[in-house]
Amino acid sequence: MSILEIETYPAAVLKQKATAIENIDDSLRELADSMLETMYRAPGVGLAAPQVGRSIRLLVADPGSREEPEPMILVNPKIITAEGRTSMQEGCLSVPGFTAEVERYKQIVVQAWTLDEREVELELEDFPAILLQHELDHLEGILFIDRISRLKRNIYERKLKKGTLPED
Amino acid sequence: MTLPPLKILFLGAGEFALPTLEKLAAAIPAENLLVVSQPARAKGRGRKKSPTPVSEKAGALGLEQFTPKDINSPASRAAMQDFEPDYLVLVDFGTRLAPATIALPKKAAINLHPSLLPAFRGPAPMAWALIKGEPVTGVTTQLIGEKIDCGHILLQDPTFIRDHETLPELSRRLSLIGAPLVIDTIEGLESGSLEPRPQDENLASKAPKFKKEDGLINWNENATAIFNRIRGLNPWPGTYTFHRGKRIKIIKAVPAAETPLLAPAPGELRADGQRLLVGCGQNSLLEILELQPAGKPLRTAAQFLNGQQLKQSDHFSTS
Repeated sequence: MSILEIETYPAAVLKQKATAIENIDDSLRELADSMLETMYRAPGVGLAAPQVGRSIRLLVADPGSREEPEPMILVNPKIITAEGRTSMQEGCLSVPGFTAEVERYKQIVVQAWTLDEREVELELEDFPAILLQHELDHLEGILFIDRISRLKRNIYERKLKKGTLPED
Repeated sequence: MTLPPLKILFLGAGEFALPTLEKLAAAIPAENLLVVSQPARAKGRGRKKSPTPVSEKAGALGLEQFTPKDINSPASRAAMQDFEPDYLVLVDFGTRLAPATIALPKKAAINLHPSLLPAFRGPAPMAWALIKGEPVTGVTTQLIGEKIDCGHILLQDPTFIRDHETLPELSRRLSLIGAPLVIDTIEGLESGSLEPRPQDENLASKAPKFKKEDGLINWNENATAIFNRIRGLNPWPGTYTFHRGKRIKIIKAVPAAETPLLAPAPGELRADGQRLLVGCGQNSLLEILELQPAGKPLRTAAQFLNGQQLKQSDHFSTS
């Protein structure tokens, strides 16, 4: 396991659609472990492979709390049903120093593969659902700032240019 | 994805709250901090309206602020509710919160109190710690409950009271120790590592507000007790005595280093060169450093002695 470097906006890899994973092998397991470690260290609650420079359909997330972590690692995840609307203030390790309210589906069902090559279906609601939609977006080359109003996004771009974003 | 930074509703008014406000402003983005203070009030000789120290600092830091006349009114509560705070942090605010206001934050309402609770519950904990001659005091973060200063304890940080420390000095020092304690408290609550624990009622003591009369010096007390009262009650409400029938404020004093074989009687004055000594109870002596006769400017002991011929019968008294 190791701590990986996190790509930040406007890195090209973040704008790319990630490719499906064909083999679940030890190198993928090791990458997933390192991504979890990197995510916890940041700290963040979710991390997709493109954020560490790998354009493949792998994500890690933890919608739990620090006392009761619920780590999950998903391979080739996809949304099969979605309904309702909700929103919360989101931030992203690849868009440091900025948060914005983003509208998302309230309930989703996600289908994915686990590292032990099982196919799973997850029914998620509220925060865990928002979290996975945010990470799934990364696999499509979409950032949360692509889903907010032009005006709010301009504020972010201006701060980024002026270098007035807070340092972490 | 990262979670958004916490939203904190900060309630404060006086100088004591400033270090905590500064620490919070450095820890979270400006839009996640809403400062609530008392409205500007007329004060001083000119009765000019001036904002609270917290209000002024919030302005300098470019923070959003809210200064309602009545913090507990439904309109004020609605305004604070709109902010959707995770935590309410109250430091040196001066107004009691209604239960519905305490219930506003999603996670917790916490207070920084300048004593080691359950000791010195109430509005004047630092003055009482000095007056009682406590060797140690400190700061406590507590959950805000309906009964003032009786909430569950979150974190504490003790400190020795320094030998000649005065109220403004102690207050400044505890405000600086308290600021990081508030940050640690929020982090501890967030990570779940902090277990709030109830106060031990058997160890509780009170620190009620002072009245002007509490500043009248009783020269029958020993010099250390009088010294503690002087450093605990200045600048407000101040300590005073009477000399030749006129009121005189005693601003600064220390117990005299010497222990005379026969000290002057309680209240009796004695000049020793440029030093002004007063007899106190238990054969002790207090050296007066600064004093201020009614309606006159502040004087050092030497200036006071130069201004008048001290007679054998001169003494300080309670009327």
